[in-house]
Amino acid sequence: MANITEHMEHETTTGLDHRKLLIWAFLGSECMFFGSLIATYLVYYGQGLPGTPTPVQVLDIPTTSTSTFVLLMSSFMMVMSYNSISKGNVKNFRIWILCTAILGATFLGFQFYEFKEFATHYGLTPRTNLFGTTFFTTTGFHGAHVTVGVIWLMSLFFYSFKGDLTKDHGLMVDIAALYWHFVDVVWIVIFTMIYLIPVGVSS
Amino acid sequence: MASISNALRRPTSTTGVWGWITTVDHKKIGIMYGISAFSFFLIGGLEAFIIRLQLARPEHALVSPEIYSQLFTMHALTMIFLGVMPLSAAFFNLVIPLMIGARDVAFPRLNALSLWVFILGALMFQSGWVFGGAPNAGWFAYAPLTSSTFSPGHGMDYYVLGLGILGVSSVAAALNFIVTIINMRAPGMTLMKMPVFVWMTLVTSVLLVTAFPVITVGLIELFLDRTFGFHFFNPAAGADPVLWQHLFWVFGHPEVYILILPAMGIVTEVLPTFSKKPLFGYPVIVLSGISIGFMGWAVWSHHMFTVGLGPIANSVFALTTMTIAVPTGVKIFNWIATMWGGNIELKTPMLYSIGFIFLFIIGGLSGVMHAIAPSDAQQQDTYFIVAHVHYVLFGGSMFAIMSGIHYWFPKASGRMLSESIGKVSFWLMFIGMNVTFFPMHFLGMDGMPRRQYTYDSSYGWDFWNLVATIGVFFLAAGIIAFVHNFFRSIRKGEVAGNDPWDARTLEWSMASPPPEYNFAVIPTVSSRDAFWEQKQTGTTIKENEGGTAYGEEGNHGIHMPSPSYWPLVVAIGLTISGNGLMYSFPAAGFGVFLTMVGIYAWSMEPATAPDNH
Amino acid sequence: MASSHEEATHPTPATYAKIAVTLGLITAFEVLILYVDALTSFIIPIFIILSTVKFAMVAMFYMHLKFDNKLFTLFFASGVILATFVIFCLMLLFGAIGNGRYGSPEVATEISHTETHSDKAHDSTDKTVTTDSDYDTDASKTNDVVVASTSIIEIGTNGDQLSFDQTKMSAQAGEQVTVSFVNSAGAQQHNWVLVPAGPARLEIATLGMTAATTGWVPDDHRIIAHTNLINPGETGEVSFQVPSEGSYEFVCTFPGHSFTMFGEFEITQ
Repeated sequence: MANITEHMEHETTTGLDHRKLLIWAFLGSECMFFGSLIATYLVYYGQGLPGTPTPVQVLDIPTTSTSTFVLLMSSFMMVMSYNSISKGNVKNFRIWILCTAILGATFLGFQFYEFKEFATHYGLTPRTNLFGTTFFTTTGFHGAHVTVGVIWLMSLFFYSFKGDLTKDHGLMVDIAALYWHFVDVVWIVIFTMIYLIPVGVSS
Repeated sequence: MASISNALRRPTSTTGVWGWITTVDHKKIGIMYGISAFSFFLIGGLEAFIIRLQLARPEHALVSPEIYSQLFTMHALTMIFLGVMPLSAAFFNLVIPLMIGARDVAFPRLNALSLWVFILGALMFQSGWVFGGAPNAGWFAYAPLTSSTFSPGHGMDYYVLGLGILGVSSVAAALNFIVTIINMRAPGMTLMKMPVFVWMTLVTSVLLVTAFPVITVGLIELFLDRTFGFHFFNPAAGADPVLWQHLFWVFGHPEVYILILPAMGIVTEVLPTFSKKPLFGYPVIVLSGISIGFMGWAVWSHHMFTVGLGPIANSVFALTTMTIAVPTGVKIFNWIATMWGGNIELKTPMLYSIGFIFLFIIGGLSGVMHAIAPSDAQQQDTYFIVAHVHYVLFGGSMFAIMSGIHYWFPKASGRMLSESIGKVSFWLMFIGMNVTFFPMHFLGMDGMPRRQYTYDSSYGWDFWNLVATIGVFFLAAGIIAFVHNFFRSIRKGEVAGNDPWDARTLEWSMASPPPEYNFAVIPTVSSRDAFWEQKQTGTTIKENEGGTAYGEEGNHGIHMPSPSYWPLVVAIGLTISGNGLMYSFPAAGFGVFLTMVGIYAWSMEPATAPDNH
Repeated sequence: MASSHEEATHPTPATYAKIAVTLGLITAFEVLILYVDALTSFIIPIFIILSTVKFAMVAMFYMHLKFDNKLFTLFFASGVILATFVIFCLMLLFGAIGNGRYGSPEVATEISHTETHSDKAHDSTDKTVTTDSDYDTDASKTNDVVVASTSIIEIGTNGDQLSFDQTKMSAQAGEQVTVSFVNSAGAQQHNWVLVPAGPARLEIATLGMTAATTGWVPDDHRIIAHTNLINPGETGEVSFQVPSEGSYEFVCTFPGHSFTMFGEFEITQ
């Protein structure tokens, strides 16, 4: 979203830019979206038919904690890319944001691997049982949000060659960064509720 | 990417059909919302009319049971999502920027997107009638009736995808109004100096952005079950169809406050104007509105008292529901106190607002009766509920909307609606409302279930059903009278001038209709009812020296945001995606592609074209 | 009016890096404590606290909430709090906290990648029950009732929820057992019926819907044993000889209950 308007210096009642208010309101809304998906998962936990793959059997904590680490580090890269652009350093910005996108894509790669393992090794698909349905939907929508994020970041990367992202202390990057961190924070919740706790209480 | 917008030149016209299609002006967008929403309201009314004709006599077979199911489902969906909600959006658009001293909303193109997504989504919704079946499982679409096993065909897919798309429109608009109200008020207009209609719009918008995601998730889950065989609501896999009910009503209850709070806001503007008195208890009314917004999250399972949640859950929700009646009641007392001792002018807007109070009290009382869980066990799924729903939604929301239409029509069009036709339409609708819906309390008490295709004479329901159907003719006459009034007045109505009602708020301080830029100079405000203050004390509203709420002044005049067709392109892309998910995945892919093209082009183009004005 | 970035205490890249390291360390710690058996009973509060710390660090520093206008915090915190409230209420309403549901140990044991159990993944809405019960390599690790020498097995309900309080019962092949069913619901009648595992459960339950005069238990030769219809607050018993082999399930055949009120009946040799 590299919209550059000519009227960014207008006064606002709060002194805050409209677009920052918009992204925060939107993130508040997204909390409810993921909250409902997670609620569905938690309500249905353990309710599937016996004899079909269960969380403790299929979840691979070592691999998923690696992908969690990857996503957390991507947030660090993101904040560094915003740091660069807000100081006017476009070259460094490009490096950091490319790294962010690459790490994001790596996270997605891990997710594809995990989904494939579940399907081929354990026969677990969304149609197999309740765990399959709720797990794939929740983590799948999170992955879709990461995908949108990667596309957004790459768009900013390419835009930096033609347009001026340094306006307003890099506001456009700031907004993308907020979205990216949000997606990371949702993953922290998912990793804890869906992976760590069920495995933790059962071990 | 910049070459896309170079190749297709940006529209510049603000007139003609293309001017309306590409507009980003909140006033035009408001008018388009209003006209399309009222048209859908008429369609919903026609559906209701057929329902009542079918029920006029026992053992009647005017339509088939299958069509009947589609009729009552679509009637509710049309009235709620394509009628009341967009009519409220029409008012938000027409009035809010003017009331807060702004020149437009915070994101004009996003505003246009909301409009076009609404119109296209609404058409998609209605197209089920033509393409093999409209949704037919009731407006709250309980699982597992809505599974692909029990609802084969595409009817319920129209429900899922249509409602999902409409959700995008509503959430985008709500986000826009939250930012507009918080960030674009005229200098000096603190939150506690804003008109109550602005407050109610803010609370409604917060409810919209928090509640819609919940039903979006429910719809996604239902869609995945139906289309891909997932198991979210499949009992055979261990799932619980009651989860759908919870997800639906966690959205659904805030939704009814979304339907009524703007209406209450409208009434709160009309009453002081026609009582020639300031609003009684402004802070209390604002606080009541906010608390209704909060408390609305704690009552949803009162729609589920008969599902078997158990006595503890039922008691908790009964208590929270009874509690939420309190702030509502407080508002009613404040409105009455506003009128008390005032110099009442019974013009048409005032008649509708007073009618609102009367009818909403009746609807609210039956609502409190439902709140008592054991009572509700008798009333649930009977015509008693139908009576309640219509008293609060028709007698409540629609009467307030009619009040708002008559009140702000002069501002939007520059002409007055006819008072005499207005009074006739009010009385016909008021009588019709009561003749149609009051007997439904009796029918409900007598055990007549809702969504009932026909009934046997031995139940003793014949008489009141016939009375209710007769009432519909009064309603129809009143609505036809209003439509006639509307078309007649657009062309031949008396010229309105700036302030035909001697009103209190900022929108009455400029020409009717307002110029494109609304305010030549953004006012500085120092009290509530700033415009009234100015009139009474003879002071002018202090002109905001040098600063503006939006845009620049200077040699080139006021720069307003330029028209754009990208919002329409994105809306078309979304609609194609929605239809594609039903019929053709490649088409859905194309829809997504088109949406992305639209979004990229939109983000490349500046809000105001450099060579504009 | 001031524009957004006026803070004097703007974090430096070094701060950001320190936070990144901390986030990584906390995550590593979370994984490590999975292997500490002594902490298993505290693991839920530990994980919730740790993830809240990570969440807060990203929100306050990376998303800059600590340094920005409090309005942003209001928007975001409102969303988080409301979402948490909805999740919590739904879990309460479904009885999904503890008790064999979320937060309780799972019946299966350690992740075993060599199990090739399943390539019986069925899709579609057909039931997918496989009848092997050798997922469970160590029955004593479950929280189910294990047969004691007195041969009385107790089973109850989850309060008013339409579910038994255990999803698995076990008994010795060939033994004479008494199943004692405590109906702790406030207003529901229930029964306990032992049937072969698989499609039979729902078939028998469907037949039971017309068996109002026999406590909703149909006359079906597949039924191994059953209690009478038990009123709320009462207990009912049935004594029978456990079959020597095969896969079985127990279910309540009160109309509508069988979809959620059932479990596995394991026969141990």
